[in-house]
Amino acid sequence: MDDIQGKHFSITDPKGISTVIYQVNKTEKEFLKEYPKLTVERLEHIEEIRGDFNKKTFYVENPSKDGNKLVILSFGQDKVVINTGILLNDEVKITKKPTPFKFTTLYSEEETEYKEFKYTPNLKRPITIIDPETTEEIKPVLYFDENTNEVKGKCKLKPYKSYFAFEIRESE
Amino acid sequence: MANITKDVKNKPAGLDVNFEIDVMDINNIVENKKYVLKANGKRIPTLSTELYEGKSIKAYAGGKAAEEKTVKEEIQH
Repeated sequence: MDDIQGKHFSITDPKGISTVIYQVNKTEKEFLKEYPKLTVERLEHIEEIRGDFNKKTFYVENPSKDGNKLVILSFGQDKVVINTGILLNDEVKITKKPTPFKFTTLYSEEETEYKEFKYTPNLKRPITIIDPETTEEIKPVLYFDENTNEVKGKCKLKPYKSYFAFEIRESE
Repeated sequence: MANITKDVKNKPAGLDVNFEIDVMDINNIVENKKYVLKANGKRIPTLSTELYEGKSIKAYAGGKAAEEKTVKEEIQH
């Protein structure tokens, strides 16, 4: 019989809350000149609605014996609660006191179609932008800027709308 | 962006890795074009979730790929 790969765990979101979870990855040494040391990768999940609750099962495909650090974001109507955790052996331990943040309306010029912005000058910055309403990531479009001879990213943001952006960096 | 190409090798950050999360103001990202951004965000009273420091959640064997394989095998039989 094949060994079972990966792990899964479940949390239950109350009505009005939507949780997404990212695994933190460490870039291998040979790529550090061009890429950020730490990046995040969103965990796939399935959902099961139970009355006013939403049971979410998250999957970790490559559990490590040294643990898998996790960033846990719970989105409410106009706020997000940030937790961190670690999957180690057969348990996910919440390691950080929940930190709630309130969104501000970040951009509110004239109401037009989607607007494009340059948001990161290179690939060294592990910035993640999330639409809090859908909890979907705002994906960048990469393009080559002939004037500066650089690869740049831009993403489309709607006016009159809040977005949640974060990055992770190594700490002592 | 957070997601880098598949050719770049990485591995899960484990116990030996400490990191911090900076919440950012998008206006800074899009307008200033600077590498150094200040963490930004407005702290508010706790939003009730079931997650709290020290809480433990049971994890079970089996990733999504393993589960899909099992379902496929069950259908074939």
